[in-house]
Amino acid sequence: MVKAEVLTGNEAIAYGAKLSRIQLISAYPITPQTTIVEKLASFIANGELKAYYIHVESEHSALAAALAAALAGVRAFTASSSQGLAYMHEWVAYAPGLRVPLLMAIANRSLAVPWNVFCDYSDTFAEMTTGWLQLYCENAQEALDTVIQGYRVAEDERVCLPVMVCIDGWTVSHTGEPVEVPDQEKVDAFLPPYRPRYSRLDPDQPMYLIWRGWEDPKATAKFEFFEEEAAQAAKTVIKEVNQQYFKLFGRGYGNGLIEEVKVEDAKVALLTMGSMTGTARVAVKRARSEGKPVGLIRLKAFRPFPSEDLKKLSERLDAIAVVDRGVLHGCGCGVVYSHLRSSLYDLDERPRIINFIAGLQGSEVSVEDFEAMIKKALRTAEAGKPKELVEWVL
Amino acid sequence: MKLKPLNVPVIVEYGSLPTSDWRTLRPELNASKCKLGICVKCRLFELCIKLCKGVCVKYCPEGCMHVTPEGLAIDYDYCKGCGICANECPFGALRMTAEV
Amino acid sequence: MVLAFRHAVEALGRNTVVIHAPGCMGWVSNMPGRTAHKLPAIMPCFASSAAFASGLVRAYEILGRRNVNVFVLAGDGGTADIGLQALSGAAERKDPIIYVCYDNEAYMNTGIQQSGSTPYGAWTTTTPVGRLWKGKERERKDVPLIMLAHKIPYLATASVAYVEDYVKKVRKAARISTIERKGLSYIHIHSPCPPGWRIPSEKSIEVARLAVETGFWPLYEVVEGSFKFTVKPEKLKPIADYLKTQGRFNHLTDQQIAIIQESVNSKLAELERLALAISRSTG
Repeated sequence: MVKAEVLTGNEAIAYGAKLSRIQLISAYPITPQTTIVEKLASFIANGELKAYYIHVESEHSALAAALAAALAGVRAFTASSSQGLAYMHEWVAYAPGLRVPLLMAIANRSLAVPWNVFCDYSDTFAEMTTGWLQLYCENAQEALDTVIQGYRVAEDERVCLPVMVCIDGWTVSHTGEPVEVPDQEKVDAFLPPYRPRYSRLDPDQPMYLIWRGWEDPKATAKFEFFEEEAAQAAKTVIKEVNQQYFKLFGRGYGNGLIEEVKVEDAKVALLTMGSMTGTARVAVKRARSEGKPVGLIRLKAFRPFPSEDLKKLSERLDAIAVVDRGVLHGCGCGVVYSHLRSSLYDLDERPRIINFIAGLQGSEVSVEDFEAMIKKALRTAEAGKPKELVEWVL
Repeated sequence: MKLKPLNVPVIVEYGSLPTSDWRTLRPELNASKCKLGICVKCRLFELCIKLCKGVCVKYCPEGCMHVTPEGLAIDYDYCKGCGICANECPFGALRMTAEV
Repeated sequence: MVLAFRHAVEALGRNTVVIHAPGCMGWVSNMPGRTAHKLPAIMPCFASSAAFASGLVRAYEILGRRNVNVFVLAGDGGTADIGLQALSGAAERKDPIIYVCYDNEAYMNTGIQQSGSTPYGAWTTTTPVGRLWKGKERERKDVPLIMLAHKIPYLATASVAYVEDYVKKVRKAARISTIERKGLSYIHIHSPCPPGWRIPSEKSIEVARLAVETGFWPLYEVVEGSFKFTVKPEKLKPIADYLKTQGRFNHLTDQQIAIIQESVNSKLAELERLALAISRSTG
């Protein structure tokens, strides 16, 4: 028996966390993530969720407490955004090195300056080199599902890395949509209780977790190598988990890393992330009804970056238009565009890749904007080379 | 690229790495002046007011002063020669001498 | 500060987890592949040792292991300055942790820079003595009194020169926090640093003792609102006796010494008034 409710993205994440039977939540309010932790607090207050809520006094402390709990062997949850995520950056960089599973929900919000509570990916892109896995969700349903899947992925022994589940601030976090809330029993079957192999910080099996790197830097560097190996292994794990979730719950999201829409017979494709994909779908549908050979690729996993999957897709395409919601400042282009270019560089036959920087500071990307992008991408494919590589949609 | 897994020791035995080789002074005990009683069971020195209160034992930062049935024993593997013991002993039973 | 650590963990026992805030004790406690002790330990980010401890202690509760001592050992920098916010939050949440701040009155690990706990007049590398500056020109923060305002169940000051007093306090903290789960216990222990204070290492305990005997470092505890001096010298020695032992106070003029004596006197008077006021309000 499946419950269907109208939930906002934040509420969906709260339900996902509740179904994942989190045991501890430590969070600090920040727009637009706040209603996640408010909902969780009300679950706990009503006895619907048996978890301990630590009312931390800052985001830095929020991640400190959540990580401590994860180390002790408890399933922990935290959430943040923008300035808060930037404030906890010290811990965000620290966490992957501990190789302990943790899930953090992010309601994407632009980093100041300018002050803005609306969505772009400058906050999570600023954390892209830390080693966290980053999964971006298009809608509330996916957010709920990805939280549950996220714990499975993080706790897998091949991975043991912290995961960020990202949703667009306001567009997804505060917009009500019909969401199927799965049964607790089914989720329990999919996501077993967290039982770490090594209990860290346990007086019965004392472990000293202060890793001191400078006397033997090559040994310490090996540590980072293994961490990266785990991030690469996560690609397989994410795909497996996505597949198993589909079998059990009837919902899958592409192959877990990317989602293809009508790319098989396309010559040109748009590459998007997050909720703007919904608008892009409409534009692509319209274009296809006019006979244009257009497809759409949605990037769900930004970390680990699915280079192999994108390479395979790109072999049949003539042009890809990457729509970036975050700028790689100093490089003159968008973040995903830069990643894609470097992934595809060694292909014998490469598609033309052009970049549209759109949706910054919460600006809307309309169907007309996407139609213009499709036109430009088609022209690029025909001409064999782009007129300009990077265009800011302002 | 394939790397062998890191082998990090989990428990290392006490005494496997003396941390005393940078010492320049070492305490020498004059056993005849040392009035430390053989309080092997009782570590609550405040009760032993008749004895010297074991100031060297309690004030040594490294815990290098040990009470044995034979009297005071100094653990030179970990003594760093700070000199607190010699400075605090009310009977002058400890003296700092140059490390050879 | 190793004394502060050694005696505390002897009192707390094996069922303890140590959170080493970055600083002297944190780094001294390990070498590559070796540790100074056999307790589980971690060094969290500087600004949130207390928050890390909060998460840990609540996780142990969830796992049904309530009698694990969660022991935070932080320096004055990691407590009075960068770590104050997290400590304040943990105190407000009544997280049952034992927080010991070893106060060597500067950021010693990074080379003697001033902290919020550096006393007036002290030389440090960032409050040096020159033509215009004569050491630190401001009074220090009084972290124990800040914690008093948080109404924590157990608060104490201690000194490495008074070991039995300190051990009693640690035991009390363990009982009130870990066993009785009443909230955060805070102990602020005075811990001389030979290179930082410019004293020969063998004089460390003597200098710490003088701090108490001159009234510079009063030893007291506040148990659930009830204030008590635990060591009260009958007649206080003049503060100059304490200041002249240390190279970091070499440059002090008579006027500066007078200022320090005055502030010691007024702090003691303030504590006496507080003791009276608190015991009156708790009846």
